[in-house]
Amino acid sequence: MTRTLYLVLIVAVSSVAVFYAIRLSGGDAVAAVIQPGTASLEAREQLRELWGLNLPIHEQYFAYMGRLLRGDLGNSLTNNWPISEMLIIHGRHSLLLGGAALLLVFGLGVPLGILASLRRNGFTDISITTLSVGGLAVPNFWLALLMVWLFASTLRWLPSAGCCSPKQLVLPAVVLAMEGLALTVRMTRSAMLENLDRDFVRTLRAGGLSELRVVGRHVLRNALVPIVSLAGLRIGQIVGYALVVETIFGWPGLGQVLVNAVLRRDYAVAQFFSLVLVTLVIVGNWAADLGYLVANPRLRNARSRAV
Amino acid sequence: MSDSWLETDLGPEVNDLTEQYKAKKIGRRQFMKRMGAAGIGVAAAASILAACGDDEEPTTTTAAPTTTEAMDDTPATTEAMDDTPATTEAMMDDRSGGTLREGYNRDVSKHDPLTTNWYDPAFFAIYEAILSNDPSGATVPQFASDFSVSDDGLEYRFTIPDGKLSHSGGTINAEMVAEFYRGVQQYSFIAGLASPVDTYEANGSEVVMKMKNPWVGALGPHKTGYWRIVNINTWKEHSIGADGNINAASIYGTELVDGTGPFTHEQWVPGSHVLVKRWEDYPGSLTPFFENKGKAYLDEIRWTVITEAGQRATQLENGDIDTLINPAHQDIGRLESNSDLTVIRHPEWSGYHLSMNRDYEELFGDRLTRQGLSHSLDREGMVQAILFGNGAATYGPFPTTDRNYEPAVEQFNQFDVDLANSKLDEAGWVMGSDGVRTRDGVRFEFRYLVEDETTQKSVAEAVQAQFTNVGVQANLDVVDRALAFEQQSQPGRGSVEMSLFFWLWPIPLDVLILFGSSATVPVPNFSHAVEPRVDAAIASWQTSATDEQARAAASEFQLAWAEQLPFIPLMNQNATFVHNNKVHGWQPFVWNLYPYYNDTWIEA
Amino acid sequence: MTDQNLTHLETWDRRQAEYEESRRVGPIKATFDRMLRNRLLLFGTVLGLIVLGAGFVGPTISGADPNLQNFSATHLPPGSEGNLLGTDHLGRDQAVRVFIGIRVSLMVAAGVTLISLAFGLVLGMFAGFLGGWRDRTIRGVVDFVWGFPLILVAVLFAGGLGEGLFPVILAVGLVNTAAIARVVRGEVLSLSEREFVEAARAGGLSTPRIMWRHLFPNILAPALVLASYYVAVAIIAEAALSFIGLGAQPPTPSLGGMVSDGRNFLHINPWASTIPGVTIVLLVLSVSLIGDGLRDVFDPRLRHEAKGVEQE
Repeated sequence: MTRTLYLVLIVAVSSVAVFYAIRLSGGDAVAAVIQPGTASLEAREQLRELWGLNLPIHEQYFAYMGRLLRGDLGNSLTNNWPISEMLIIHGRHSLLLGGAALLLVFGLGVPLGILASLRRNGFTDISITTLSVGGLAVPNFWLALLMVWLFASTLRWLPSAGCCSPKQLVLPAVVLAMEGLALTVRMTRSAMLENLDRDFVRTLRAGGLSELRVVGRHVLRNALVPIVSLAGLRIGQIVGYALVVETIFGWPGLGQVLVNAVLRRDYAVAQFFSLVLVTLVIVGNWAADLGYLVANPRLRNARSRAV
Repeated sequence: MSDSWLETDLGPEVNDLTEQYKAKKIGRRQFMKRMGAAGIGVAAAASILAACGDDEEPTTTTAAPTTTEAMDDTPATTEAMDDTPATTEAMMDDRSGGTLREGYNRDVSKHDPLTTNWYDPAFFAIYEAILSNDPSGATVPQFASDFSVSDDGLEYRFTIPDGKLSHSGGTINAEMVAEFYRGVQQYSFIAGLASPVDTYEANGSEVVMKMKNPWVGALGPHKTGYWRIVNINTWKEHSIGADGNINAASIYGTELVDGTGPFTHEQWVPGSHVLVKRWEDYPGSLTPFFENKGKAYLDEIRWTVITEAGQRATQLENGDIDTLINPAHQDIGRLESNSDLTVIRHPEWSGYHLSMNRDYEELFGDRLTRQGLSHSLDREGMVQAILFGNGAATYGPFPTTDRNYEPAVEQFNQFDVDLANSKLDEAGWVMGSDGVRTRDGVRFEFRYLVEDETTQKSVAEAVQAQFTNVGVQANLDVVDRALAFEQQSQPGRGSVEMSLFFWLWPIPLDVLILFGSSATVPVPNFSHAVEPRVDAAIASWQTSATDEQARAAASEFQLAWAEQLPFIPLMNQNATFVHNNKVHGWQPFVWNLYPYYNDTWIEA
Repeated sequence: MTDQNLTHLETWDRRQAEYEESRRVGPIKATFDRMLRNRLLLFGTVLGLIVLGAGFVGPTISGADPNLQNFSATHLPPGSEGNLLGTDHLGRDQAVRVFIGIRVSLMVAAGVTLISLAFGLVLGMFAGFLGGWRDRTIRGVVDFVWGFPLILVAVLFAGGLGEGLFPVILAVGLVNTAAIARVVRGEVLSLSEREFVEAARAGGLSTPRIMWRHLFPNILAPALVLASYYVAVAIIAEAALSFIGLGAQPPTPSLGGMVSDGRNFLHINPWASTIPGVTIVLLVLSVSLIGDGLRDVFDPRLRHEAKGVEQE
């Protein structure tokens, strides 16, 4: 309960932070839409008035939040597009890409981690571990270039950019997932190793249970719960990287929209979509916290005291 | 015709080389090299190439259309068009269908001729203009079936046939067209381009355009995107507020369009794509060079925004798109060697210019300083390095291939670092110990704005480093297009000191007038330059009643510009169009910025 | 935040053994021995020295201008005469630009480390030692900031302050501050219960004095180790932001910006983006190996913390 209240509180606080951050600089979107011939001072003022840009900033904030809570998201300042429509169209694209990346992180990361742990120090383990170190050290924007060069330009197996066919999804999803994937592999591997060495496992083995049963039934469950409970954290990570990856692959999702809006000083769009992404991250972290508590009941008391 | 000066001015050696090139005895590169050896600038050599009208460089002359390969292997050749009988049903069935996927190098603008500040290829699908240029550069009817000019040049008449409609089903008669043009005069920011026009009235089935004075340029603007015909009633309903001003929150052009072209607006997603669909009730085309007089063949056209320069060519090679406007310069050679693709290159009516805010009098106030800056720039080097030779250096305002190009501008602004330094010295700029000049306590350092686009960024970086060589420190600031525009367009010292900008317009003189005129400070005269010589040339152009007068005015305009330097001209790039060979009837040509889509079809 | 956690390659057993060994032979000798024996640290240090050396010495030796262009020598491959690593799209020497780019990366890393260490230490110590509502407030803010993807924060800052290195340093510094404050707070909490602090309290020492005299020296080492860890984060973040145009502005040669410039020329000059890309990888790898090694040498317990950072 307290956690949920806390959640609401930080979403509110971050909405203020976002609102102010975006307005720190001079320059506004009036210029982006106004036509050169009508760029008289009066015309600019009229538009500012229309959009409420002439009000004190806290009044703008409350007016804005009021409209938001009534479901009126407003229009883009640069091209007049309804933000609600942008949310639906671009949100759908982002959901597709983010979902695919999340699927890769866990659907591929966990099995690879298990495989590595079962072949400890063998060739498979070393290959997987090396790849996962690489996945962390290679910046994803460069990885994107390398993959486009290899799979799109040279081999011509996959399209280099665009949206939203399954083929077009492959490259951006892999790049977006890479870091989370590498982390998941390593965490799974070390959690598996830790559990494989534990006393109860030895007892089970000594009791004559088959290795498959030991691993499948007992070790896996113990090792995976904490990892999967962290899915929320990966959401934050994916949201962050989506800003870069969507830009590179011309994937028309929320990240690309936000980056463009920031570059164009389109407050209306930038603040709404920052708020959406910020809320996503907060909720993701919150879910991770909850998941972690559920997975580690022993920590429950300690944690609630700490917060 | 336009390039006759070449033959007379440039001696036998050049003519000889040109002949060899035409006979394909030597390649393009070799030609350029040997021209260089003969002391001919790249700009001049490129114009000669253009005049040769080979596959690579269709010319600006009437030869242009015959050279585009696309036309040779389709029945849609321009020569055949006039003779071809109306499309048969069989042919229609054969060609009908499919979605053309076209790559576009810019983000999309809203589809509203009256309020947009850039027009895209989609304007050529959604709207018709009253007249158009045909592949030979002649003016031909489009929305109008016929037009005439009075002997005194003061009255133009356009015949609007019966049965013309807009997408919403509204009738577009002469009165509606006249009303639309009055709307342009009242609301369009760019109406000033046709300022010699006095009134538009309907007279029966005719639109009558009355001039304030005779002007040979009067038809030009009417063929561009900003004068493409809109159902003005629909437009006003959405775009004019109760107070009679433009409603900034209008959905016209983004969600709703009521145009007159063969395709209807379906979807408009900025940053991503635009989708248009065939208009089944299209009343048919009157444009003589269209082979298809009925509704369009294509079901849909989808323009994909590909701002990542390197991605464009790759997507075409991989078959993700069918046609492409402006691949990155470095990829053109590769595309040309691909047998599945056809590359069409022709001069583009565009240019890269540098503005210098003259309200920073202490920096750019005197001509000597501006000339010093200009001489420090190796334009031909930049054309080779940045445009990969796919363009030409410009020493005056015009692209070198324009009909009215004045080659005498090449006596100015040539690359010469010593001359640049001595002009700056003479202007009183003393080289400081840190390598930056000062004058009367003012350091020669300023902010230099550039739009965040690959080529422009390279040009800006190249220019900046060359300024450093002569003791001038320009601090680059790379910003988004909209933001750049805002910071260029303030009055007085509110505008940035220097900026790089790129213009694109089918009639160079018209738009350059807007940039150079003292009447248009601060927008788009970003330099805030008041140059009496330039103003006088503009005045004589806008009152020129004959081609002779027009040519003389254009010449003086260019020379005044090249010498006084309201803006520093840099270079001009070629327009490049590439299509998959399965696409037919897609014919970009030099006189219009974009292709028409009436004849376009895709092999199954 | 998970992107801060780079490499953990060893097993718990070895660390435990080292820890016990240090108790046996005395801390200084044990530390030194461990440093030499720690192959990761050694490898990382050597690699780091090479890359850093290139960054600092390279430009001095060549003396060349990173912005000197030559339009007739563009897109030269590595090994060309006079251009060891070739040239870029404006004919600028890649080697000189990469050297300066490394410097820019390190400058950003240094700025970020300074900010995050200073604020992280102060906030963490106050929160941990003072407790009560102050702790809850600081903890709330820190938790909030810490949970954010760096890139999103940096994009917001760029929206507010404009593009450039300054907002990047600020944004990464902010997020890393939170990361360090969290760990420092935990350290302080556990130290506070130790005898020497209790004794100091009983002896009537003032709070600031205890913090400065007794807590600070004990916390500095782990904080430094942690900070070295976040240097890699700063380097990658700067490169990514410069790549999308929000970081260093031209003509400043930044590694991310160079990868970005080169991406349009993959077909004619793949080196233009590969060389700065590889440099980033080497830089990040060496910095994180050093961080890992230092952590193992100085404070094996921190491995627990780092793991906690990863999993929470």
